[in-house]
Amino acid sequence: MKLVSVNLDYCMECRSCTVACYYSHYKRTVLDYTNVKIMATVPVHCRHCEEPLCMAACPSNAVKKLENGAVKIFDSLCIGCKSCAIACPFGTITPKIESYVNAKCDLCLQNLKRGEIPNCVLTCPSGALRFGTRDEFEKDRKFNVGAQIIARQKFFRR
Amino acid sequence: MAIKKSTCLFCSLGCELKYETGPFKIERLLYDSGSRISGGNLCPRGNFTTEFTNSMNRLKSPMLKKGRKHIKLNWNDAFLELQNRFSKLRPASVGFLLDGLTSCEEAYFTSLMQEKLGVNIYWNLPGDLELAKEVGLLSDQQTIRDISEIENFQTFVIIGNIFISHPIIAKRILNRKYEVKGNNIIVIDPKVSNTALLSNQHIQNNPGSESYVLAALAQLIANRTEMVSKLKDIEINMKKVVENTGISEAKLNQITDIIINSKNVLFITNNNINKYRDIESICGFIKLILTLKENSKVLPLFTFGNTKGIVQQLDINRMKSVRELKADMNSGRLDALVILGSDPAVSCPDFSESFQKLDLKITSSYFRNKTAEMSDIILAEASWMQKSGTYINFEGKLNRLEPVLEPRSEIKNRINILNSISRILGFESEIDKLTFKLERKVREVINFDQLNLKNPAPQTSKKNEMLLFCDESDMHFGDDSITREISWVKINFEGPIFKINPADAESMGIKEDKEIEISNSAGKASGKIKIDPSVLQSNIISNYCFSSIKSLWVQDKKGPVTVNLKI
Repeated sequence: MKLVSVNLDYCMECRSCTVACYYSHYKRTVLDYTNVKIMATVPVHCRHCEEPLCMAACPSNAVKKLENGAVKIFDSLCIGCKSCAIACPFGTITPKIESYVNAKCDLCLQNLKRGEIPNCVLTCPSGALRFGTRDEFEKDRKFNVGAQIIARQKFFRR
Repeated sequence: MAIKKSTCLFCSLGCELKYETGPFKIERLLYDSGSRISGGNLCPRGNFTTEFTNSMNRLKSPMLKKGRKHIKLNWNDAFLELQNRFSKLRPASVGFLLDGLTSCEEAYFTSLMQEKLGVNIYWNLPGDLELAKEVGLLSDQQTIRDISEIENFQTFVIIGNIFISHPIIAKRILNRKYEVKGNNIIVIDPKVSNTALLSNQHIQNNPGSESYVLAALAQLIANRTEMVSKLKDIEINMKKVVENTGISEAKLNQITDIIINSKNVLFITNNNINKYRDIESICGFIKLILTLKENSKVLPLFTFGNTKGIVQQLDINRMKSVRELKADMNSGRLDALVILGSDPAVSCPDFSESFQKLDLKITSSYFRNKTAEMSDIILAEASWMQKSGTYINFEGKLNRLEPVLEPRSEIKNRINILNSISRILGFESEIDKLTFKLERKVREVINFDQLNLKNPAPQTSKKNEMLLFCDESDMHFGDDSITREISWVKINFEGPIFKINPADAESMGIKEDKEIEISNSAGKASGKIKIDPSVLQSNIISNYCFSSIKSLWVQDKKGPVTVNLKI
């Protein structure tokens, strides 16, 4: 399965990925940023877990794992209970107050169908976001995103 | 569906854009991997272009002020109204305020109007003009002529937060950082900006002391390279430098070592520097370092796309700044002003007061902005994605604009608007037959008269007095940018936030998230407080551009701001 990886050595918080995501998901902020110990800001991208907790938590079966591995919320089934947002261990689902439907990264399914890659990766000006398989990232030793976020906040980059 | 190509003019890089378009709107933004400048990647502003063109808030027809309200007109009625109003005026009392989105043709047409009719031409981005004057017109050998040249440099000296103002060039610089593996990115910025965080060496100088840092570097490089004779006309006292910048001599020596030992150096400046002090000195010292250090070049970056083109088409010496515009409006020299594209009521201090005094106020704009609200006649203008023309990007290359969408019938291109007004004023020209004078003005490399360190860095003296530092790059918009109308900006902009040092907060008894009010002789603003140890003492950094009270904007001499808790 292909995933998006974030290389924090290149991320400069320009927020292009957030904007591209906003426009490709009907003006809903799906890909958000978070602050790590105040000083560092990093994009929080859905991991598309093998056993998604958001899917297990959803009472209306609106969250489904697709054939290509992407975990998607189906808007027509979502009742906006925000259980998925609470269940997600990475905080990638931002509960929306104004709309009763929750939005979540679906790896830009419309792009994948066309044989393209997700818009956040396409737009990233610094090359911090990459789209590939777990094996490809492990080869470059750049897969361990969670470890990077914890151990390598911005002041330790130099 | 058709595939159309255009160019982004939100900054001077000029990234190529590719869209899937329907008959009435842009359907989808395609990321064009064949793009020479960006390689298909786009910054937030590039992503905004679709909404900017499709926006329902765009002006759709001309409007006329009747009483307190504006009523809609069709183009013919608007033209008759213009004819009626302009018939009472002399061309010499009419002014045109240009912005950086004006194409080469429009700029050339404006220069013809200036020549034939004697109308006044003003420029709304004074900093950009200064930067273009000082650095942008250097010889081909001293400026970057192709974006790929960035990859040949070993060391980068960056003034300002260019990774946010121009993110597209960041990839090339960061790739060099990890390839070379040395101390090769030096950032001069009083803020701990995103660029500073990714740099190897951050010179966190006191605000307004960039010219001192560069002067010291020039002096130290000259000393090491035994070229002291070149500096005989200026005197640099290192004690004075340390006092003004707050940077130790050892740190400056360390930076000099890096510059001298590197194979080649690229100086990158953006328009941020010109908002502060001594732009002439800053640019002058950069030029001086270019001549002292072999194989060094400069990359000047501007706010909007066609700054270089406008400077080449119009006579810079006959163009006036917004400050001169205010003086002309106040003295009664101007009776009418035509504002093309920009929103000076937001961006220029005290503009509105002077603007109200005019007999005829016309705004040609994309949105119904604050300046448009004050105008007698509002004209609906096509954006650069709806018109054809040429522009010159930061490399000095002439590029062609093609319309992605045809403008609606009541929306006109800027050149048609200019041509109509010109015809009313008594000068007729056939737009199709315009020829462009694209001769290059090459200036003398260094003018020693410009190099001075007479202005000390700004200081605060009274209690609760601080230097305001506006970091509008947070929001990817400048003074009066059109991106204000973009929905993403509206959602993500929580309101003004002021960052201050913990020691300052403690001495003033201010706590995090409290509302404060800042004020100086020009006005006041309020917002929430955030305590940030990276901010220097007696500085206050805002995420919003409070242009009217910007204390470091030296031309207006507003002075430091006083901070008060809001009750």
